[in-house]
Amino acid sequence: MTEEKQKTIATILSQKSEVQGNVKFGKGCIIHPNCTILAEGGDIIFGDYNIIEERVSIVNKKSKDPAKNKNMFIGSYNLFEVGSKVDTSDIGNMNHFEPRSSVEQDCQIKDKCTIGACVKLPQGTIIEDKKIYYPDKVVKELNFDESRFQKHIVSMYQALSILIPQNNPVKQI
Amino acid sequence: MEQQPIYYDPSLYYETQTGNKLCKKNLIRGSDNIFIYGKVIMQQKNIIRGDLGRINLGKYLILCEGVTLRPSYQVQANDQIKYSHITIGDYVIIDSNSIIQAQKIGSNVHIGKNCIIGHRANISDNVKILDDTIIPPDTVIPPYTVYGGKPARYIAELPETVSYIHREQAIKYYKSFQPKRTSDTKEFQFSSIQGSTAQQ
Repeated sequence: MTEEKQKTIATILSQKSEVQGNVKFGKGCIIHPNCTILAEGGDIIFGDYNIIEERVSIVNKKSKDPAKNKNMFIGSYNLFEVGSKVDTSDIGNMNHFEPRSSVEQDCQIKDKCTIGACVKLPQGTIIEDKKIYYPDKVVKELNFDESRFQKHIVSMYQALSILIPQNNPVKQI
Repeated sequence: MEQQPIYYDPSLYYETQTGNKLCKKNLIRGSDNIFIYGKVIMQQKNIIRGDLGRINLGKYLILCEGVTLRPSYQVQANDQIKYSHITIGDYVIIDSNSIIQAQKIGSNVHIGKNCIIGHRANISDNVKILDDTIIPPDTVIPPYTVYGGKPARYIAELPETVSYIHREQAIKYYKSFQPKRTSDTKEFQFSSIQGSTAQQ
């Protein structure tokens, strides 16, 4: 039983979205249509079970000095909602980006953070674990349930992996 | 005050028999699941995800540029996710660049620019929502109110006659949205006279 389940876990990449350059996906990622992932300066490496919704742009920009170009790492169990932007910055595990939030260049986001709707993080900020960014204030989350968050994203993958290939042209990796 | 007519390129739009004006540059998926009553305007660059769940749209619905309509989900008892459906009532105006993940929107509603409406929100009839508001998930907005801010708060109450005002705004916008005619100006003049007599 377990071997059969492991075979079916695949990333689903809808072909309307724009993916260019060296981009590597782990298992169980879902990319909705009309989102852009561009690897210009270096590679972009995704972990497992990332969900990327519409109008999201994840860009690794090319800098003027060729020595500054780096690979960009994104961990596993991340959820990017509609219209969020990430620009050449490393991201850990189990983060939640709400709609239209934006992360500018050279930021570092560690584990278990949520970034609220319409929040702009300026250049070079480093965010520690378990922080919530609202438009007004910053709060530390005290009781974060890891297993519940992971179950939530895995069950979202199971629902979307059946629904999306019915009506979208899809490439399974 | 008379509203200035808004002209569109007729080569870019479909016109159906029930009076819908739908742009060709939209990303619409799962068209079996989208039910349209009639007299709906969809301008360009919209995203409508019918493949996730069922979408019901009422009459005189106006979607401006850059609107995303996507159904929200519900977590069931055995930790599984089920995508639910959106119902939108009659005489609704949704302005540009707003994201809508609500469960129900009533009739005679006006939603401003750059709004974000969270998962499973429930907006009742005769409501005005200001520009740049964020409505958090699982909120219920009562009828005859104005909401605004980040996050959305109660601002003011609306009179009972607001249902007629919102209804007339939607009908006026639908009538002013006309195809652009360059060569035959005579026919256009005739139609404008006809419109003025009908209003009297």
